[in-house]
Amino acid sequence: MILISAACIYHTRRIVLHHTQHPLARYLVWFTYALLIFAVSRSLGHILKHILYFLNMNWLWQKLSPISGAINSISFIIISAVTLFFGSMYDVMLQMQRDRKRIEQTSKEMLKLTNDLENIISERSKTELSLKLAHEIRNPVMVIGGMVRSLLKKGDDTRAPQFQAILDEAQRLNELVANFEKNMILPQIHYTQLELNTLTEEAIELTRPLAEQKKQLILFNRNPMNLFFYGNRQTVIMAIKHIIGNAIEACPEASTIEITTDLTEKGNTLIIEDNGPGIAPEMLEHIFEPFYTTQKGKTTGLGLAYVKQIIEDHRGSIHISSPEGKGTIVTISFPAYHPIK
Amino acid sequence: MDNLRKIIQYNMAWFILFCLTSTDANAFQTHGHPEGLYVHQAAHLLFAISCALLYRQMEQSAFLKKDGWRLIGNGILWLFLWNVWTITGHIIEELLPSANILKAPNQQPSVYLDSWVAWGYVILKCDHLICVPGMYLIYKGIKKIADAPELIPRFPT
Repeated sequence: MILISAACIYHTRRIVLHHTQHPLARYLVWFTYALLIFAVSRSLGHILKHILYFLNMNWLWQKLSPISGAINSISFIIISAVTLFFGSMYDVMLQMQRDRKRIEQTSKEMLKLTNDLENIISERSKTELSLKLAHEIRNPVMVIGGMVRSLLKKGDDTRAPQFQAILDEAQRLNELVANFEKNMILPQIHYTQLELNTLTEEAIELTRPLAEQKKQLILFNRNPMNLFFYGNRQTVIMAIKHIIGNAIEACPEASTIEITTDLTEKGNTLIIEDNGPGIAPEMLEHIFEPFYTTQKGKTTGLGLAYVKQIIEDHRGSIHISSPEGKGTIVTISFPAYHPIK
Repeated sequence: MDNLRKIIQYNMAWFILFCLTSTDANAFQTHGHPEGLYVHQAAHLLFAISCALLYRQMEQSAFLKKDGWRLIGNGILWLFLWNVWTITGHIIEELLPSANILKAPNQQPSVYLDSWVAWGYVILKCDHLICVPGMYLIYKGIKKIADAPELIPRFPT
């Protein structure tokens, strides 16, 4: 017993050398030292008892026996105390580990949102700068136009055609700037003609690695028509990507996510359907509220609120339904836009 | 309700008066013969409970799926069994009549086997057969972990 417990201590010390601060290694050290105390008190007690009986000194063993027994009891209590204390400490440490993972996840989510917001702000800044430039161009154009008009009024016939040409060009430039300003006015920041099928394909490609990790299948039912609408490419891709990402996270391994594009009475429609666990009705009511999350600690709860904001900025709509036991269906619509050929 | 309150107050007053009556100031308690055995049995019981709790915790945290930890888990189960075994042994020892213990000079006492209690006592006395294998399993487990430090799970430090 003594040899076994001594060998235990030797190997525990080897473990501690590799994991200096590890609570589990520390626990093993305490545990094995208590085992050694127990082994020594018990084995030495037996050996001593044997010798004393042999020497006919029974009376001495009668005196020493309670001491050996007391040490035995103390070693049991030490082992129990250390084990029970370690048990609760271990729970605390596991909780710490879970919390750290949650914090890391939230930080990642925050970083991602910050990046997205930076992109938006950058877009807005570019737009504002463009509008300012347009304003700066229009002022000299107006001055040029006014001066040419007054020269024409003076009746200098020889140069009248040239002045007229300058005036026409100035007016054209003015109209150009006016049109530019009209198209750039907020909130239609950097809006261009977009095609829903193309954007959906791009968003799918961005989320595909995540789906492959979970061995999930993304089915895309692409509408054969071009589904044009007017909007900001980057933010719309971001919104679609977020919805697909949510579906991937919510679904178990080897499940299927079906994405369909269509032209309906609501406009260009995108339907993202999964066969995951779905969302409880009481959660569905608050799903678009900022900071509301179904995965406490894992997400910030800003994602869907942000997606809704993007879609509404595009005069679109988003609707989430979750029939019991049948997964989740997200329907997004954008007003259709028909480009003039 | 008022009557009940009066009864409680009356009895409380008596109790306080009783506590205040003067007696000798001998504070520390005398610890007689069976107390040592009770403490030892309680220590065994505590040891057994902590073994059971530790095993359950290891099972819940999937520790037992790892090589070295499985051996330690088994060792702890043996120690749990040993504690139950020895608690029973100590109880049987108390039941054994002193006449059954035969003492001879220069020899350890022997037992006269005339009843199931005497037989039980002798069998339960062989608790080393459970305790030593338990410790050996723990030793093997610790050695295995020391040889492969990756068996210790990662923890935030």
